[in-house]
Amino acid sequence: MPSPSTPRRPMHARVLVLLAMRNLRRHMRRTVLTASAMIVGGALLIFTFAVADGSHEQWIDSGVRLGEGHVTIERPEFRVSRRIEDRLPAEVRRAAEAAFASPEIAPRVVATTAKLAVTGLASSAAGARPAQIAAVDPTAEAGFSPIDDRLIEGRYLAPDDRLAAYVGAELVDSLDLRLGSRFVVQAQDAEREIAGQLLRVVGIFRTGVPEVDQTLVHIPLATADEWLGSAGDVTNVGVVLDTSAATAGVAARVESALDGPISRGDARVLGWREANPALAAAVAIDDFGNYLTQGFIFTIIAFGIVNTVLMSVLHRRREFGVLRALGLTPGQTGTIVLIEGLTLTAASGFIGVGLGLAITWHFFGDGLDISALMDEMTFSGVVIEPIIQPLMRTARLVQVLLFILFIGAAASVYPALRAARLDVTEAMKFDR
Amino acid sequence: MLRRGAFLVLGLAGAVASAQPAAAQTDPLEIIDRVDRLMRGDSSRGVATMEVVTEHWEREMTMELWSLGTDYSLVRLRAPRREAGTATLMAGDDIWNYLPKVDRTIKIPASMMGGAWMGSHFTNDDLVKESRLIDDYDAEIAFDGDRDGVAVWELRLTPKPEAAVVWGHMEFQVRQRDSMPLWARYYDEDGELARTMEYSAFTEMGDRIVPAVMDMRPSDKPGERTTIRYDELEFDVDLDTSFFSLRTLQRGR
Repeated sequence: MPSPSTPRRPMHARVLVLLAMRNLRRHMRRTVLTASAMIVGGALLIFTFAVADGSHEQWIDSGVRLGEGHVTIERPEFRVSRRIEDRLPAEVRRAAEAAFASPEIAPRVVATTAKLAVTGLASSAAGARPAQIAAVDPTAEAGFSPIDDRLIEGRYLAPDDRLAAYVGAELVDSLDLRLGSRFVVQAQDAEREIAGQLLRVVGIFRTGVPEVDQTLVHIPLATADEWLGSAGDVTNVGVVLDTSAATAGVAARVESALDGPISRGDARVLGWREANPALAAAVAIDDFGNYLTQGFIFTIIAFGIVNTVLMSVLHRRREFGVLRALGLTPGQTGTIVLIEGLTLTAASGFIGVGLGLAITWHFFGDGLDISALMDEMTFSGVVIEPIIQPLMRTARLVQVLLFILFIGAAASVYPALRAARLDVTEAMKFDR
Repeated sequence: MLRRGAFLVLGLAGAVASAQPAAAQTDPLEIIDRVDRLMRGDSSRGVATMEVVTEHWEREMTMELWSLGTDYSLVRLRAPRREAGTATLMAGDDIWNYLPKVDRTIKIPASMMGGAWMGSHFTNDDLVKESRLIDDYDAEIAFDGDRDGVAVWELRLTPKPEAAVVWGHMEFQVRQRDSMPLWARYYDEDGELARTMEYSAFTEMGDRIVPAVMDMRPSDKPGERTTIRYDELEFDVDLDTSFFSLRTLQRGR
C-alpha cells in the first residue's frame, strides 16, 4: 500500500526536472548561446587562477629559497637584531631538525638549511660596505638556495673551502674585487668583540635582486666558527616544502615539537608569510586583483544569464499559466525556472572548467612564456621568472566550482521569482 | 690602522727627540718597534685642527684629544660652534659617539666601522684598530740610503697569508736620523696606490719632536684630503682609565 504523500514528492520533482530540461532543449540556440558565455567564462577563470597561483607559487618558492625557507626557526629577537648573540641553542637546532625528519613532516620536505646569518662590514682597499654574511654548509645550501645557480664567474663554495666567499656582483663591483681577490669582513663575534676575517672571492653571483646582489656574502660555516667563535651554532634552521600550502600545517607541527624552547623564549617558528611580509602582501594584492577582475567578468555573464532566463520566462507566460491551472503551486513553477537556470549554468560552467583545465595544461603545461611581455623583474627579494608553471589546487578548483554554482543560482533567482509571481488569470487571458 | 704607531690620528703621542744616533739598523721589525715606541707616550692631551677637503665641501674642526696607552682615547670637538661637544670615545675595539644636541650616546656597530669618522677620510676603523703591524705583516727593508739628501729606510710590509687586512701591501718611509715617519703608502692587491699619509712640520711639542701635520690623501679622489694639525700637545699627563668613560664622554664642554 503506497502511502499517500511520500511517493508523490519525488515524482513531482522528476516532473519538474523533466519540464525544465524540455524547456532547455526546446530553445536549443538560446541555450547554446547562454552556455557558451558560461563555458568561456569558466575556462577563463581556470586559466587565470592556474596562471596566478602558479606564478605566486614561484614567487614564494623563489622568496623562501633566497630567504630562510617556507618554515624557519630562529630566536625571537633575531629577526630585528641580526646579531650572533641571538643564535639558536644547539639543542633547539637538533630538536628542529628531528622535527623535520619526523614521519609527518619528512614527506613534504624538499630541502633544509641551517645557516648563521650576521650583519657586518665587508672592506677592501677600495672601501667598505655593509654586508649580510651567511655562513652555510656548502653542500646543503646548494640544494636549498637557488643562489649557486646564479653564478656568473668562478664557482660556488665547496665543502673543504676555508677562506672562501661567494659574493654578490654589485658588492664585488663596489669593493673593486674580482675572482681571487682578498677582502676583510668584520662583525661582532660570540664574545661581543669586533672580529675581522680575511676571505678570498671564489665565486660571483647575480640574482637580479639589488638588495641581495649588493650585500650578500656566503661563506662556509667552518670559516664562521673560526672567525666568530660560534662553535657550529646557527641562527636559522629552515625547510623548503613541496608546496607552500603545507606551510601552516608544518609550522604547527614544528611548533608543537619545540614546545619547550618556545615557551622559554629560546625559539620561534615562522611561516614564510611572517618571515617575508612584503611577499605575502604582494601575493594577497595580486589575488585581490584577480578576484576583482573575475568578479566583474562573472557579474556581466550573470546579467546575460538573467536576461536569457528571464526572456524565456516572459515568453512562456501562457505555458506557466497552464501549468498553474493544472495544479502546480507558485513554488513549483519557480522551481522549474530555477532548475532550468541552475542546470544551464552548472553544466556549462563545469564544461568550461574542464575545457579550461585541458587547454591550460595542453598548451602551457610546460610553462607559459611571458618573456615577450616582460623581462625578468624583481620585488621584495623575489625574482619573477618570465616562464610561469600553471598550478591548480583542489581547494581552488572547489572554490571555482562553488563560485560558478553561486553565480548560476543568483542569476536564476529573479526569473524564478517572476515565474512564481505569475498571475494565472492574466497569463491565460491573452493568446500569444 | 696604526694607532700604536701614531701614524694615524688619535693615538698620536709624539716622539722623544731622541738624541740617540741612528745606528745602522737593519732589522725591519726593530725599526717598526722603535718608531712605535718613540711616537707613543703613556698618556697625552692635545688640541688639533682637522681640515677635510672633498670634491663638494670643505670644513674645519678644532678638537681636544686625550689618550692613555694604546687602548683609550677621547676626542671632543670645540669648533665649529654648532658641533661643539660632539665627542668620540675609544676603549679597546669599541667606539662610542656622543651627540650633545640630542643628548645621545651611540655605540658604533660593526657594520659602520668602515664609515667616515666625522666626515673625514679616516674611517672609524682607522681609529680603533690597534697596530698589529708586527702580527699582521711581514716586513722587509726595501730601501736603505739617501732620498733628497736625507738618510731614510723604506719598509715594505706584506700581509701574512691569513691576516685580516685589506691592503695588498704598505710602504713606510722612516727618517734614519730620528726615526720619524715621513710617509705611509697603502696599496691595493694590484699594487695600485690607494691612499697616502704624509707627515710633516716636525716640531717640538711637550718635550718631544713630533710630526705636527698629517695629511691623508685618497688616490681615487684627487684633490681630496684630510689634514690634521696639532696646535698643542703635552705628554705624560695625569690620566687614568676612569677618565675614558661614557660619563666623561657625555660631560660636554
